[in-house]
Amino acid sequence: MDTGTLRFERLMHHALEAVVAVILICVFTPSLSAGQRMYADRAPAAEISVDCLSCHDDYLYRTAYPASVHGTQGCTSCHDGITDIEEHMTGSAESTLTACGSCHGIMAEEYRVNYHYLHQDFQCYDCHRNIHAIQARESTLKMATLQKCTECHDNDEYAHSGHGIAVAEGNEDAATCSDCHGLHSTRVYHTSQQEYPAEAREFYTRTCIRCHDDRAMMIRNDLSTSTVAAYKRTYHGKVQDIGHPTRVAGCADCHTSHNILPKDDPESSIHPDNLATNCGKCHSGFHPRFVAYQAHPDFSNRERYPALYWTNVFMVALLAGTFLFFWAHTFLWWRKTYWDKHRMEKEGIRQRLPMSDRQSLQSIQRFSRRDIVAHILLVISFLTLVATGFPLKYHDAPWARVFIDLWGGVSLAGIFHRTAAVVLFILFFYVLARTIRFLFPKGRGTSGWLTRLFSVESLFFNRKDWQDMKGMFRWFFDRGDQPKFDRWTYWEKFDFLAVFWGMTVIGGSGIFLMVPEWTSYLFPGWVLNVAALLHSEEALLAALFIFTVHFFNTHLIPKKFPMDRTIFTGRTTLHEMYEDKREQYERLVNEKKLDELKREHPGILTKLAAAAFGLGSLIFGLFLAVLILWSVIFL
Amino acid sequence: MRCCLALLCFIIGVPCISDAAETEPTVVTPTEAHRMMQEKGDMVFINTMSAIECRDHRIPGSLCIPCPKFEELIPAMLEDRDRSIVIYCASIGCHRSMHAARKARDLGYRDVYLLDGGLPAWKEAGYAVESEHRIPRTGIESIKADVLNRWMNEKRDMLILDIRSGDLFDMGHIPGAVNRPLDELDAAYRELPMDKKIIVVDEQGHRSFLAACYLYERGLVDIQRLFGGMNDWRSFMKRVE
Repeated sequence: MDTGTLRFERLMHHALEAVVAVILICVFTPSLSAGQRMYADRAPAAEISVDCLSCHDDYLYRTAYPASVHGTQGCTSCHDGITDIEEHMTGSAESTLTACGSCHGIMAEEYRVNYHYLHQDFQCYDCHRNIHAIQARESTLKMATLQKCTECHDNDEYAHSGHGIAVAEGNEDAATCSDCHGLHSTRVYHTSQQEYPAEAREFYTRTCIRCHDDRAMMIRNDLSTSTVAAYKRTYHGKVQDIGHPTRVAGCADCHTSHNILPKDDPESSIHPDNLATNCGKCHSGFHPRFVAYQAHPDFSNRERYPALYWTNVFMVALLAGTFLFFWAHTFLWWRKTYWDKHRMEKEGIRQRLPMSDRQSLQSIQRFSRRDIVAHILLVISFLTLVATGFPLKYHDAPWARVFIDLWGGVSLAGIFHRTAAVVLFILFFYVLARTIRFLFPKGRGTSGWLTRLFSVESLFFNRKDWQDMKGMFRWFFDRGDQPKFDRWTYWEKFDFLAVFWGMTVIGGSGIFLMVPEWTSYLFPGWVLNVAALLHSEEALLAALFIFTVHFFNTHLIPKKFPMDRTIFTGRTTLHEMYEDKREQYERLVNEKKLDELKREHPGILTKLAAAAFGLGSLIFGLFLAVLILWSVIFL
Repeated sequence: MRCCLALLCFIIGVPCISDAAETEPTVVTPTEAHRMMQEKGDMVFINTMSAIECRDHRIPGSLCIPCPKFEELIPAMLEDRDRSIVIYCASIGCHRSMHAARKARDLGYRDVYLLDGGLPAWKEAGYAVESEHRIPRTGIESIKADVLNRWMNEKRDMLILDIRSGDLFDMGHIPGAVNRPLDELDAAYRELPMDKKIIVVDEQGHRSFLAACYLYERGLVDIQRLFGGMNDWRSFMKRVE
């Protein structure tokens, strides 16, 4: 055969192939399923597939491949780089494999961080074996995933767990391997490696929450709809949720990762007989009654959690009652003061004082140096407690994470919180000691303690306070003059006495929560749930009261605005005493004791320092109040 | 007196700290290493994993010099000590490559780098790998420490094959385990029994899978591996004790 004839035959051969290719494309293209059409832009080079079958002519390629899920794809969709068929046929040029990701791009991108790829170099065909004959799965995706994963990861615990049984029964909601670990994005979280235990805990806890917080899914499967919300109200849940992985119980710490069973199953980690061991993985040195702690307490469930339910009702009533009264009191006071000021300005009236200007500016001692130091420490510790505690209370607020970042994480914030609490305790006991000394002075025993308790120098309520309060309300409504106050007004007394209540409730519950294991020697574990609720709600009461009511009464009232420096300099003026504590002024004048309280005017540095610290604290407190109120309203 | 001692310690200590800092190899990220590879035509990667692992897949063009034989093999395999070398192994906290990089410095190689995160980080950055002999992956069942312990108590007929280095094996191993380091497994696999179940054990659970696939390919088909390796075994023993 001469060269010309050979060339002609080859030309005819290629022409025939091209015709076949066109026919094949016409025949197969309309039959592409929706899923296969996704890759239609990578249309098969059918003329090559004809050539391929002329050599690769066996059952796999002729019969099994066309029936496979990739059967409409030509060979060159995957086997690329064949530029010369003769070189390929003689074996001098190998084809190159096109990456599966060129079609399955999203999966390939996810797979790039997959543990099996990074550490074991699994390629697609290592799981999707026998790729030329691969068929659409017959079972559900969940079951197919389970079957594939358990080829290597046999897990009896999972097979007998609630999830495993449900998946085997065809439940499309129950978690199969990929629901927790990812299908193609299995991360390098490996609890055995100890490299990412905290990150792994956070990741898997979020994974559990993703399903168990799905109300419709929980109802569909007859599971509790409040489990996640209740968990997120516990210390475990709050710390876990704030985004700073810390060693605090996530879902799998109590429920285990695969052996998840109902709590009445003796094999379950949360079966009553196993709780001590379960809790003992993190906690040590506790009394057996410690395990009565409720990990998912639902405050609204009166039947199951009566103590929590009624504590919650009490705290809500306390908060509502306190703020209803004091915010109304504050608002009415502000209105009255502002309206009176406006009226006097409009009518051109200036208040005349029965003293010269020089006399009116005379400094009068109101607080001792010990009082000043105590209040500065109180301000620092209180603001620290609020700024470290409230980010946890409102853990899902965007600002909470910023605060925790600034503190350097939950653990460090916790250390600051406890340190500030210790400072506050020391202050509390110092004030308690001074109170006892006031009531029982040296050398006088118990005689006259009741008289001192209700005296004008005492911070305890007396009958005049009741009269003063009624008088204030009459004054608010223009039904009388403003009452004359002696050394302490009733709202100042309330500020002082409320600390005793607050310290007892917040401090007491705080101690229980600080050493929960020791607490279990006194009380059952559920008391910790009550303590957590009291601690949180009473803190809300204290913070909002200080940042709104106390700040207004003392600093933001129009005639004091923007702040009253008295508590930081220790000195007021005779004018202020005449205005605010008229009865005290008149009493001291009558008793001729006023001169004893006259002092030098405070130095400029003292005034500047007082203004800087006071104003700084005031602004920070108001900023916290805005964040707290925003969270109360919108979360 | 204390002040004088402290000053003396400081004077002695400062040069030592400086020396130590000088000998530490520079750590480069996969992106930096890839850029260096393109800019420096003669740069070479060195894979310090076992020969089995290195042949399975590696950064293209890498030399395979297992860590235990590094000092012995590198002078012959890389004569030019001025060439830039990037050393890597298989894990994030890569002790083998750090060890090898220090040895390279000691042997006079001047431009030594460590690949941060090793081969997994290279792959995660999206760069290619090559294979000389890829071991077919197969479904090797893993068992957890509690199951292995139960089987041991039941005195099941099995061989616990510890593929860690001899040093690590000597520091502590599962009772009855036989040590055949992964670096030597391509020669030692012939000694292993074909008629007995083999449980492959490594340190962290990363390397036993490939070792088991390698043995499976060589006919040792009744094979499983310990999930989590000795790390999990030690945690389990701590829990039960």
